[in-house]
Amino acid sequence: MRPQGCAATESLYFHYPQFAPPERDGSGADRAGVVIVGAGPVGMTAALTLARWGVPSLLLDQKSTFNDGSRAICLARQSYHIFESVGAVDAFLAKSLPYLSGRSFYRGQQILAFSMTDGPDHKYRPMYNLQQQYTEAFLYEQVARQPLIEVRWQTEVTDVQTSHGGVNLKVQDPNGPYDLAADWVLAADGARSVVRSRRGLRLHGQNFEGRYIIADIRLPRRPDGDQRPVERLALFDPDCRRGGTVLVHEQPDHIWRIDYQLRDGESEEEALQEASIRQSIAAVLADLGWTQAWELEWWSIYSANTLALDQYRDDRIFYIGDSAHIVPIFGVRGLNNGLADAQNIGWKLALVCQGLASECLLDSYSPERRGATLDVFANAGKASRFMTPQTTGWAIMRDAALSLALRHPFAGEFANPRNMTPYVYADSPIVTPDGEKEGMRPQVGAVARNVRLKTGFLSDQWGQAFTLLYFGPQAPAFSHPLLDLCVHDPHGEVGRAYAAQSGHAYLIRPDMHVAARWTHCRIEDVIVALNRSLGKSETVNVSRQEVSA
Amino acid sequence: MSDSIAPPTLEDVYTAMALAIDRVEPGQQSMLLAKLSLLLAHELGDEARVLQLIEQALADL
Repeated sequence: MRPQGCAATESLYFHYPQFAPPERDGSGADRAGVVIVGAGPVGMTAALTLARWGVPSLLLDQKSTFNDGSRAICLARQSYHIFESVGAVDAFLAKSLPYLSGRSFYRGQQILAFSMTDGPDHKYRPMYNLQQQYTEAFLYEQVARQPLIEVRWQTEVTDVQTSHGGVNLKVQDPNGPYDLAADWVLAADGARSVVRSRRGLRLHGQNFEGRYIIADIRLPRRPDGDQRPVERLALFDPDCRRGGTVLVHEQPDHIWRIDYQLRDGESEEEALQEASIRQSIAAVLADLGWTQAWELEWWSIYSANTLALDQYRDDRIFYIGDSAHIVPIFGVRGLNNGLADAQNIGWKLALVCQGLASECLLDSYSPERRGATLDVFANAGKASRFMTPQTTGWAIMRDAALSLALRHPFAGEFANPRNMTPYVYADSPIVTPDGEKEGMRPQVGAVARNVRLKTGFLSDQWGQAFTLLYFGPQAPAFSHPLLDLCVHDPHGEVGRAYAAQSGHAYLIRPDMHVAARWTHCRIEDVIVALNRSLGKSETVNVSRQEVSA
Repeated sequence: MSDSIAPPTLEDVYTAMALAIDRVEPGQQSMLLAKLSLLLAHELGDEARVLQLIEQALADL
């Protein structure tokens, strides 16, 4: 929502483009290999990932512009690797605000200062703040220059049926309705997914019922000037909102996000009134001692849910992003996990469409990404119960921890937001489990370690498809069209970071996760593991044609 | 053979807790006990044992 007199996309700082509907003669039917429903950040990332592999797609969105309001603002390190993979990261780095830390307060007194994992070996910072409409604009810059992607704005999906070997969509734009046939559909159409509801699927899980107002304001200058680090602030039981919680995030363009919890029984309708919003924000700013004049940009309401589909694959339809899962904001994994969904199905579907992988590979999407969602539920659920305790027991323990934290730092750790690292695909059907390999790290399924080199980073040396990171005096002599070799001295800087010995090797997937690893790498084993990661039978005979020794 | 400075006994803990519970507002008694439990658990450093003791405390209420 925006202040009285402002149109829906009339922003203090962002110009919303208007996208015209497709020019059609209003008749006939159409078909496409891959249709992506929803041109938000998740849908666009999926389209760009497919295009990178040479696979065309058709993006549909019922809106005529980007998302209203700043919405998902916290982008994690691995999302920047995804933006890098689709050629968009420079715009993100130029605009967003990186940050490393946060502080929590209880009744005005600091109880926790936390830092997120960082260091010279990380190519990107642990977290960045950026308004969602910038995320969409930067991705759209790449989409618009990509000839393999067609975008149809103002195009609404009204029905979805699957048939043998395809999906039939009914689509409506200002020129009228038409039929659209697709081989595959990616449903990136958000929390209120039309594709999901037309397919009769429902999200299952818990509603924590903690309600937050999320609002953006503009300050004329940074409080405390340049001395202030970019950080996340959490205020528990502050004077401005007794018994409630307030979160504060800085965004580019002097925009600040203020999230505040509504009290039990506080009417949403009243809380959403502009006068009430202004009064509540003024109280938060007074509590922070920020006395500057401020402008109101945008606000909305949010409640902490953990909801997900039981399966993210439905015949030839894949649910990615919020259509598949709704997670509480406190772990900042909503958009970040959506982007990881898009990348995950993107490389898999591309390899299948190009005939380079078995269709079985697509069956690994749901266990891998639903596993990531359930991991978020476990962790964000803890954060939610701390931020918005729903029962007497949770409230007493939360208050006890906060009260103790004033004098005992150990108790302040309960207020740590537990921003999560990428999920480990340890149980995935397309990785090769090996138990505990002594001295080897990272584990199978985890994101491979990055290392700063004299120029650039280790990850810059990895291929678009799979990479064999091999430690030894010389490269193993073989090649495979989907495998790049990256050879390092076990005694060099990369070798040291991996605690490597001669013969150690890691098979790294297109999304940087480790698919397999060996202490004594043999070509035959690499081919078996690679085939497993391509959805091909584990027992497939090693074709000597693939190995040019 | 009595020590002039005897170490506190469990009886002393019992007494101190009774007095502490009576000293705070009725609405804060649960929080006092929760704070004490977290402090004791932190000092004990044996979370598995604490979980067993929570189960024991739940018996026969």
